[in-house]
Amino acid sequence: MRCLHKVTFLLLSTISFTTAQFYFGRNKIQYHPFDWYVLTTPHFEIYYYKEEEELAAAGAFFAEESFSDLEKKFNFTLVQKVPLIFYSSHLHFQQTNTLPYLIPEGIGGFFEFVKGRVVIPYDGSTYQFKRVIKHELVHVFMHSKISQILRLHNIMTYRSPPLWFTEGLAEFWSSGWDSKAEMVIRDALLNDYLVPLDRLDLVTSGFLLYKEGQSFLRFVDSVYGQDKLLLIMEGIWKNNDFYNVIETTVGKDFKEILNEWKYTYKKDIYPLLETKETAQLSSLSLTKQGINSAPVYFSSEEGENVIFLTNRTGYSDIYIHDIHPENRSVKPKLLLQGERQAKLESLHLLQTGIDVNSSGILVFPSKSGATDVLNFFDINQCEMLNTFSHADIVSISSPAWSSEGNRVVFSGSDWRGSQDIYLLDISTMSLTQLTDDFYADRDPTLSPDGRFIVFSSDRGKFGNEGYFNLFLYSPQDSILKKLTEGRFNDISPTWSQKRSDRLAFSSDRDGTHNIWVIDGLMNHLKESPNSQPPESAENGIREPVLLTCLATGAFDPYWCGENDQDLLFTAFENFRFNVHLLENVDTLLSPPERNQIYPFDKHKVMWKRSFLRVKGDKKNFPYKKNYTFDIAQTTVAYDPIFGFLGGAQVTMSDLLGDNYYHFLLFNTAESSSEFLGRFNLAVTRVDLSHRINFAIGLFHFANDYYYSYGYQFFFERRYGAQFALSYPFSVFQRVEASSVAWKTEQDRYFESDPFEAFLVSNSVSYVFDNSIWGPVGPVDGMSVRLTVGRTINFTQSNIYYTGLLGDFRKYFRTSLKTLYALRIMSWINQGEDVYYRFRIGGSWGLRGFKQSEVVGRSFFLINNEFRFPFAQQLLLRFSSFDINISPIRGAIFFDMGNAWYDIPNWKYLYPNRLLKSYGVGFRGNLLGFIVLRLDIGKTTESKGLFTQFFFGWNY
Amino acid sequence: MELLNLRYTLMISVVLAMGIINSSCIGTLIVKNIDANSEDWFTPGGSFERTSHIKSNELIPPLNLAWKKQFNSGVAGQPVIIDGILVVPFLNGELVALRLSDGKKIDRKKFGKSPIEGFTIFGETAYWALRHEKKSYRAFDLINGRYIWKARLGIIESSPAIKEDLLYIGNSDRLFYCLDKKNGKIIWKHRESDRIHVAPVLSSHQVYYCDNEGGIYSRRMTDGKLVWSTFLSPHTPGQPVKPYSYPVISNGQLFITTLDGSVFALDTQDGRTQWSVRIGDPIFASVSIDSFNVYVPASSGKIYSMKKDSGEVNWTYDGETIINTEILISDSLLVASTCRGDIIFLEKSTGNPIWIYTLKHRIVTPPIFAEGYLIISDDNKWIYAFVSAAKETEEQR
Repeated sequence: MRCLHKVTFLLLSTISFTTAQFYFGRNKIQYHPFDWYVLTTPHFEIYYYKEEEELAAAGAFFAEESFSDLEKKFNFTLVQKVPLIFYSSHLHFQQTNTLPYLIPEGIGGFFEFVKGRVVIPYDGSTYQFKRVIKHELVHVFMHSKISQILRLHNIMTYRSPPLWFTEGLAEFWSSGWDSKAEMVIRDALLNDYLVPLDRLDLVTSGFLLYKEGQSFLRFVDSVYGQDKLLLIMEGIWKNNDFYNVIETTVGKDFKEILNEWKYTYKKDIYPLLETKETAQLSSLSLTKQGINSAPVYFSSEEGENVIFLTNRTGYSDIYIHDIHPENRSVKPKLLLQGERQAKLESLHLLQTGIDVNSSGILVFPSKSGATDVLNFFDINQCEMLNTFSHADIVSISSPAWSSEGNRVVFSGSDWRGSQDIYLLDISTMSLTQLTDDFYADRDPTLSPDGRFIVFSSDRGKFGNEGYFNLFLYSPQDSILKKLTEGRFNDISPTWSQKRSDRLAFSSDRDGTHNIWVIDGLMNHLKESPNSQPPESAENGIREPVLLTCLATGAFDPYWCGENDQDLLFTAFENFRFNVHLLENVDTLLSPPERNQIYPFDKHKVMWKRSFLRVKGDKKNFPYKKNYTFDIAQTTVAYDPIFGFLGGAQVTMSDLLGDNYYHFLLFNTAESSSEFLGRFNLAVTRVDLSHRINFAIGLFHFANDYYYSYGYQFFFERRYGAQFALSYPFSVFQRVEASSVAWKTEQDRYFESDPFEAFLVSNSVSYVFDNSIWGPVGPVDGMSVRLTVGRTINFTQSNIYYTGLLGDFRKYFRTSLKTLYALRIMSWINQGEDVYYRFRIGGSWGLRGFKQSEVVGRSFFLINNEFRFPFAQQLLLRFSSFDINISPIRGAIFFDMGNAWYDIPNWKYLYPNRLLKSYGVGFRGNLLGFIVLRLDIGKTTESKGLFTQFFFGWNY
Repeated sequence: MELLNLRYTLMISVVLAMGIINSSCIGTLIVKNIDANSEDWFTPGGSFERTSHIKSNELIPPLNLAWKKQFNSGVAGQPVIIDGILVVPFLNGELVALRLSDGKKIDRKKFGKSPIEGFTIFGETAYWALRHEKKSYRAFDLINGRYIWKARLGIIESSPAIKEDLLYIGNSDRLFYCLDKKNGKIIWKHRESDRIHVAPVLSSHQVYYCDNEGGIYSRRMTDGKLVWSTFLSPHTPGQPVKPYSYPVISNGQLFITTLDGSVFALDTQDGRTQWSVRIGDPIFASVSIDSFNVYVPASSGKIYSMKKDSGEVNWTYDGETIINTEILISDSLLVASTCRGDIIFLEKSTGNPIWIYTLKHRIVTPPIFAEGYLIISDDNKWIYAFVSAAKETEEQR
């Protein structure tokens, strides 16, 4: 029965925080009230907002095209229409309420099981959009097909294939094979970190899991036949062990197939070593820790510097590093902190380039509120000079300065999702849009004389197959010409400002990305009259020449040195992105193998995006909220004294997840006469569609409670209404408020007079959280929560209850892997409340004391902890499975605090003094989401050592 | 017909009672001597030629739903219809006999936990495989309600072909067996180059079968001597040609469909490819054949009518969604079922749709027809029986 009470209390408290007001945590902000519409096609319901109407029609076409193909691949069809929700940019996608948590920048779309929704952002590339739609539809088909097979075989539990299979198949059937997959698998084989697939689920790196799965399934498809992937899925009922299903389908031991796969790839890759090099051996690595990208060069009297984006500390920051030979050993310095404040909410690591002009003004994009902005930061003064944003531009990437330092060219996406090239005049802050179409135009770079812009685009002949080639644009006469053409990706061009005949870019034309150089470019452009690029083949340019020759990948080239004789670039090697320096490029550049002229043709439109034309008004209509179940669960319990007890909890929401209804129904009657009076009922409506989230609700609870500290039972009926809201100032900080008005009727069994009151409780909270988390808890940043609440008894016209909470947590990095964590927390309650108590002892609070040992209506607590790495892994290998605790972190701690009942009397339940404890601890991560905690230490109240073992994340 | 059903029901009840008395009995289902040329549907494809061609003229749309019944498991393979009784093998190891006219349950028996695979009735005996049993292949006497024999044949996923006293079946260990159907003893066996998971077909003296890699074999029935073998040649070099469903034989031609979207017509005498057509989309089901034409269900949803002697396309019909089960053909029309749940009646000569009925769930078995009833099942575990309006009226009268 007490368990039931706890359940009721738990549900009550859940309802009290229905606005998703987590204790800490960052905020998902609905910046825009999207005006949603629905487009219905034969197999889909497509949800889009008005600005992306054209995109929705294209998406509808791709979805139907993929549907038709996947029907054949799966030997299956979907009966229900699949809801597809499109966003025209990732920034809009991050606002979706279809998932309750924050969506990282690396997520390119998802399939959500509860309502079968597929949610996809557009990143400017039509091909990528089409690919992601197909990827997610593979998940929909697989989930539906496996469900059908299991249902027909009466297998009640869902047998999900391992993640490497589901994601690998989605990758393989949506994109086949590409240079990124080739790069990762090559790198994994060459650096010996390929993880056996049957242990891949333990690997935290999602990207490796996707690519290994893709590679393995491609191998099975090509060697054992296309039918095998289908037969594996169709045979999932045959065995609980998925690997056994693979073995019986393919007819070989799984480990044997794995070895064949690895051996086959090794045979393909090892010969490459004869001609390919490693980045480590062929160039100078300037970084070692974290992901590093987008290097740019800045020289001043103080030295020669490379400035780059990095997440070496966990946050994305901008660092500066002196690359003068005498100073290279000095560690890079932090130039600008990102991801800690609203203006620099994200620096888009690995998704954008940055640039610096000769005056030392760094230009870089960042997410700031609803959209991206361009930031202008003075490196010499270390101050932010200015920011630029435009109402029509949602996201910004890869800004590049003109050589005079008065103009910036960049790639921007508008509300339609169109990614175009823009030119910003810094002196007037006037913006000119240079391209305006559905093609993805990226990575612009200006010629030294400012007359031409070279950029990467999918507008070429093979753009509809996903290939990006280089194009040259003359802003003066608006002439656009193609510079390269082929089934390969030419990206990140960078024009040498001092050797104007040279353009470096990254291309996967030899299998994976390397740096290539086009020489003699400006000479040809100078020869052309009226600033027009030459049109005849004779006046064309030389073929690109391979500069780096890495087996894995080289990106983000940037010229550097006094005379642009050196080149900076980002190298992918050993599953890391590092900034490298390639010196004396002239000595490495060989003349083109074939000394022929590369065509320099006038550009014409090569392909058009397909659309699904749906006729009739009924196919296209404004979105209407239809509520369907998210959770529907019932509980039936039997108590030997009280008989049968039962209840239900239901949550319903609309398809976009903006509006929720929670229903709770429980009955705690102990006899038939009490049945009507003991209904526990709560209805709450939550609205998440706007920036202000709010919840309103009505409730009636009637229950027996047990007051453990007074050893008393009492009955309470409470009924009333509640209102709560949450307003986020930014992703890091918010204010919360709630108001509850209720009538309470308490029958305290050991007191003669019943208690009745009409109470109104109001509270306000301020929450700040920019902390980042490692495998066992926060590792950097700060979290603050301040709450004040007061309950007034209107029946007796007095203050019934007052509560004050302060919780401050700060994580000080002492090195890249060590930190000092401080928590100062106090909760002061005063008033007539009879049953709420804090228990602060235990592994999460005052260590060394039992949880129920330090109890009170108020408390304060100070935790100090020095955290450091202890061990990489504790692996227990059994014959049929492994237990992997990884990593294990160590801690040295010192805690102090106490709890009390009433401030005026300062009456402690525990000895009337400050309680302290100190010791060492170990925390290990099991399965990625369980943290095991072991603390050994000493308290001021006992002589011996204590040992506490528990579960849970660090504070 | 009502009297006939009553008679069989009574017989079943009697035999069932005998089964209860005799404790070693598993139970009985039906009793009848099967004539392989009868109008019964006793094996996938309707006969051991597996042409899916019925001779009845009772299949006339529009059809009315005679009855429907939901079970707690999916249908394994194809049900059979024997003289007014529908026998359904299930994926949960159950065998259920229903009266064809009204769906009334006659008997149900559970034979194990694994699916009843490759179910076929021939004579008074039913044959099936149980995957997880050591003696995986069984012959069951329908009169006495006992197993006649059990044999260790490994994993078998397909139906047998039977002629006189010999039973032919292939398994996942690449073995093709000829058994004595009376006692299950192996007469001969041969190991082929890959697993055999589709049913064989028979001509007068030879048995024909495919392995998973596209190897086609013709052996003499009596001693297993190889008459010829061949590999299907791909239309695109390097592209494997793999059959997914059983071959079909008709008048000296063997027809095979493959996952790369090809239809092959082979000469049964020497295995020579007479013609082959590549549709392009995977073909998951076998062709259906009448005297002059071949009907091909493609995963694209298209149905092709081709000339039997040349492969020339007569007409196509677009069902708009995947078709992965065999087409049923009568003298004048054909019945196809789409995965989505459509039962489509087409005019055989033109491919024009005559009548379409849509179920609420995905169809998982091909339409089968016998004694005036069209049987089909869906993935919500329903079995539907349709009867032509004319026949229904006649029966009511």
